[in-house]
Amino acid sequence: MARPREPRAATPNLIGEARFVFTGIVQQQGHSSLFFVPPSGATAVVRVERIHHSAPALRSQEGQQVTVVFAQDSNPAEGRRVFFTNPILYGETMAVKEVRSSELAEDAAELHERIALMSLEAEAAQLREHIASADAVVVGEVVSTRRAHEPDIARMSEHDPDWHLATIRIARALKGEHKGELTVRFPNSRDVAWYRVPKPQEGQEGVFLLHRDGLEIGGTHLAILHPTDLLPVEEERVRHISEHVEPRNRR
Amino acid sequence: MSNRRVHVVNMIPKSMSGETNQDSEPQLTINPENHRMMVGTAFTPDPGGGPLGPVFASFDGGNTWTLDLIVPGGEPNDQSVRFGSGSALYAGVLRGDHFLRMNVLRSAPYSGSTAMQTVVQRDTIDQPYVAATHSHGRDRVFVGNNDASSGPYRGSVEHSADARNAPPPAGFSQNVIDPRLTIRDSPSIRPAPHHDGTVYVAYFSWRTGGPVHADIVVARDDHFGTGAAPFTDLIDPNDGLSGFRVALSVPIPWFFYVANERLGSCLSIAVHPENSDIVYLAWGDGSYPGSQQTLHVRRSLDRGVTWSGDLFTAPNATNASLAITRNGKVGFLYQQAVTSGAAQRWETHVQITRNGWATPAEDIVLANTPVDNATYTYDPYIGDYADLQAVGNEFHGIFCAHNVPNMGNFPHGVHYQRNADFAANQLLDVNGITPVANSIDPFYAHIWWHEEEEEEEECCPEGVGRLIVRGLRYERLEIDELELESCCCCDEEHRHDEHSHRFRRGHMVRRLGERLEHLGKHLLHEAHEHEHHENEHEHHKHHKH
Repeated sequence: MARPREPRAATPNLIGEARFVFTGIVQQQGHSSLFFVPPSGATAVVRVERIHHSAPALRSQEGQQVTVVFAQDSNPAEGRRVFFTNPILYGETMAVKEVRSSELAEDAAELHERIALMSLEAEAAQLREHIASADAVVVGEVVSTRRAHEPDIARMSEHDPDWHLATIRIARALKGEHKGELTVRFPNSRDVAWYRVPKPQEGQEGVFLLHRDGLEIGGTHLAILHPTDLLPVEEERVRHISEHVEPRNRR
Repeated sequence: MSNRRVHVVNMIPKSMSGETNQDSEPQLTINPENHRMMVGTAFTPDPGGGPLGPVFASFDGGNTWTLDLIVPGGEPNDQSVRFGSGSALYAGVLRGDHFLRMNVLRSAPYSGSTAMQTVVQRDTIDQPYVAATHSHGRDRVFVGNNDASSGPYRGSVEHSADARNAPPPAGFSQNVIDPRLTIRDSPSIRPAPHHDGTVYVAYFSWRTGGPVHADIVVARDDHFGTGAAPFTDLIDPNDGLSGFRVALSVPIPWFFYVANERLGSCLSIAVHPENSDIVYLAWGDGSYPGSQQTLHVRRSLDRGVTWSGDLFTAPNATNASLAITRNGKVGFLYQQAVTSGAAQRWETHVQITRNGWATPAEDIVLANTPVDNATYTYDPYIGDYADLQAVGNEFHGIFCAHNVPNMGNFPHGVHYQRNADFAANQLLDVNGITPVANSIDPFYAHIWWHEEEEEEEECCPEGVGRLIVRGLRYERLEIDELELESCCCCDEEHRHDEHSHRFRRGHMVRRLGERLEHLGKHLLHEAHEHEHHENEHEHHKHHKH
């Protein structure tokens, strides 16, 4: 069943809901290029023309066919559309679930720029959230690192974080009242559970986003726990972070 | 065993041709009611960065695989999957979004792109490992796990006598199993249930902590773990405690490394599907000089009361996985670090024996792949385990290895779904042009036999309930004689059980279906080989010119 003609409207901002946003051409209504997705009135094979927003691993899907499972039990007329979607299956081709799609209502280059901007705004919002969740944010240099304690072999799993301590000489505190030197905890483990979390090195400068996780080890409650908890010192990035620290938390 | 066939498939789907993740630590399950439906796992993220973790799913007997996003919590830190009845899929995972939080998950029935349901959640748990069997209309599910929720890590089993039908927590309850606990137990807790009610559980019980020495222990329950004191039916006469100590205080290479792989907890156990008295055990220890970790295989023929000496050993090896077919073939998959010239490599073997290594087993090398620091991002490099499953009289395996497209690395051939140029030994992106860096991928392996002279199944001495296929030839479909009879007389319990009667009939028809499916696989395999030879021929011709 074909959808009724839609009124032309500016592309909405659905970046928060959709992880794979692209302009594509509906090639085969009611078809599927993936065994796992039975063809129906709510599926179509779409050629991806230009990806506007996606995880880095999906950027090579430009030029490929994907199967779109439409949100409504109907699919739109063949032609060029902007698709806000989320991937659901990866097989011979990808299958994506539509959040929303609309006819291409503006110049393709302008659209790409606008969605790129939305994407940046979404990233900034994520960073704001992450800063808000941090208990302290400091700019500084790692003076030394050491193992926090000998492992307790009875309580050590294969995923043991192997806690280490880093002493940071603080250049500027962006959140919290810290000054001088601050000791923080980080997981030095290369295990699958921890490898993405930064491992500070002696002499390394950075912006440290620090969290309390209920543990006190080596005399500190603060820890580096997430992949984005140690950011390079770039003035713009620091300024950006400063702007998003609530005024009452600034020094 | 000259009629044996091997089919190896790189499981990364074509649409993920650009991926460079270290997809290690695999597991595999085959739907017992539809052998074409399989689910595999590895440390593979959703390439799209979504909130659900993926499994690899195949609906065509392992020839093609699709990444299906169904695991709550994102890419898990450990995962294990098994099918039950009615296409129910069970999983034990450590959630990716919460450190050491175990979820037992259920999807009944398994359905593509539908998130699994959480039926159990516990914290401070390591390495959940699922085993399942079906009996008396119920799925009996056992999740071995290492529980440190109160004190040291202890061998534990989360189990349910009816996991498919009950609402969460689906009948699951947790039992600790080590009566000798002094220091701790290792992460590998391996249950092996049999449909007659027998459940074996193997574990390491530490005796010293530095250096680590541990007993290799097998516990047993004779009633699916449903009694007042589960997993205490096998007593060690030497100390009067439950769990027979197959080996005493052996040295364990805890957190030692070989060829980038972290060692220290390698264990596998398998029970004969037709006779629960027969059980095989494999473990890794550091008892042999010159080997970081040596695998040992032993056997009991009397329900774990007495054990053989070593039937087979493999030095510098890990990821042991045992499986036993219905007709008694024992398969043993393991990965061994070898040195070729100056370079180390991982060889993935499957040993197959029909007589418990009384004569040398057939050794199938599935892969011989490089150890490559450029592909080493995290531990474990290739996995804390691999997996071998027996279905009927066949073996299905899964292992992780370096993915450089080089036919020389796969002695029995290999089929890649992802784009790859075997002539140039180069992976290619989804556009078929852009080069892609090597990494670690999961590989599926199917080992089966054809042109068996005769297959006969009987369920009782009266001679009814038989499937007889003679003279099945694969060049053409030609069955000289097909006899299919069934009755309801398998045992006292099922003598007048119509369900059992239908089950036997269904089973026979499935077996016939399997044999026909082999024909399809054989033809596909031949076609791949033909295509490969044609490509090589073209390549040589090209170079000659």
